[in-house]
Amino acid sequence: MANLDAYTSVRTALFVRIDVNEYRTTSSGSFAPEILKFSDYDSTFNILGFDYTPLGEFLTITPTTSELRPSSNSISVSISGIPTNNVAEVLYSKIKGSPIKIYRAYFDASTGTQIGATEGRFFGSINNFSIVDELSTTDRTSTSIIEFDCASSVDTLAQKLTGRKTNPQSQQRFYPNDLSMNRVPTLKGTKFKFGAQE
Amino acid sequence: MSFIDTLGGLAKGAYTFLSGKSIGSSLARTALLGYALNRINASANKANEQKDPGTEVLIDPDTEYKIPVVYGSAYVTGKITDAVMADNNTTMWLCLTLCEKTGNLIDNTPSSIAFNEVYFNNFRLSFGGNGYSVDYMWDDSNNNSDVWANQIEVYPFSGGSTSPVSFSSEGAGNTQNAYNIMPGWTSNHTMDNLVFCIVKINYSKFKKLTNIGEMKFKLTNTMSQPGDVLYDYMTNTRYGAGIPSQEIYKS
Repeated sequence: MANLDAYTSVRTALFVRIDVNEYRTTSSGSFAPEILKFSDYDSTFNILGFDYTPLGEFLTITPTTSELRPSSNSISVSISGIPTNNVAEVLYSKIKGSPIKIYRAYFDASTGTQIGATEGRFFGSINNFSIVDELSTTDRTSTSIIEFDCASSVDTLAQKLTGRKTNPQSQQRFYPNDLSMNRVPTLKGTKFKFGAQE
Repeated sequence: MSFIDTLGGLAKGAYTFLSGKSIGSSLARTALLGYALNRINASANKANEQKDPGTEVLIDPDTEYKIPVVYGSAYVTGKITDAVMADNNTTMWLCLTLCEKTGNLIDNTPSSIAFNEVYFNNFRLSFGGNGYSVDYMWDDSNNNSDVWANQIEVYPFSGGSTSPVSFSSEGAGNTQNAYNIMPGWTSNHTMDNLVFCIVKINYSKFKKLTNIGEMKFKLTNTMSQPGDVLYDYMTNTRYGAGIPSQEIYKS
């Protein structure tokens, strides 16, 4: 946690990273992994080894509640001012389910230098997204707003079911060639005449 | 004089005659003894001619049983996941799946699960020189009996079919792979990352070993510290949360 005791004024900026496993820019292009990185900072800034594109006012992230322990609140990330022809990239790519990480960094308002280390603010995955068109009749242009609905990892983990059960499907989900559990359904309810002389 | 008195008089007369010292009394006693022995012998032969119907044993594995994770020490009963009857129905082979094999400690040392004790119908078992054939059973008061000696064999495995282990109380143990012990298994019966036991039970009506009983094992995992346990549970992709290790501040 950054120590802000010595500062009279600070600025904060949020940095968003979305790891899209299958991304493409055209409807017929091939999928490739892509990391989307952007921030509401006013210039390109490097954190954790990556440059984040400054979107400034174009990026809106709904506030989160700070709690002592991790909470399962969802969050919305909106990017506005996107040229209409760029919106297609989101539609062509498989955005849903992509992990999203939002970091927060503190800056000295007067010097612009970062204070302390970058902190995690929200880790989760994209549940859904929506696109809203904005048409300007005066200058005859249109832009779009993309809104990502993100579920917290805490919420995802709370609903996650893991582990193995003693049946062949469960065992072979992890180890496809293992036949050890194959006889469990057959044996269920089977009666053996242990010791019976024939 | 009632008929009861008459019968009593006859019985008294017969007893007096049989207990007498005359030749007639002696012959009568011999005849009675011979008759009694003949009846006993006939009854025994009849019993020998009857085939043992055995005991009806219900094997009831559970397809929805969630394999547990053991940290530290715990007693587990496990679930039967395979059973084979062999040797003219006199030998029962069981595979008991006990728990998951856990991952590495925070310092990257692999965790290991040891078999400390095994109980059969609440009797603790100890083993002979080979480390897997039972020699004695012990009750809660530490009394022992060898009635089940060589009737039960227990082969523990910790991590898969190719990971035989010994009981921690024994100097020796099985070294064969599970698929070389369990009838019908092949090298494709791998039991990957599972802690389990193969148990062989020989039927014996006279030693009161006519059922598969209830088995219980005391296991001890070297992973017992809270930090190691939390880290394992958070990162394991098989039974845990599957959180990438780089997202966890280990220090």
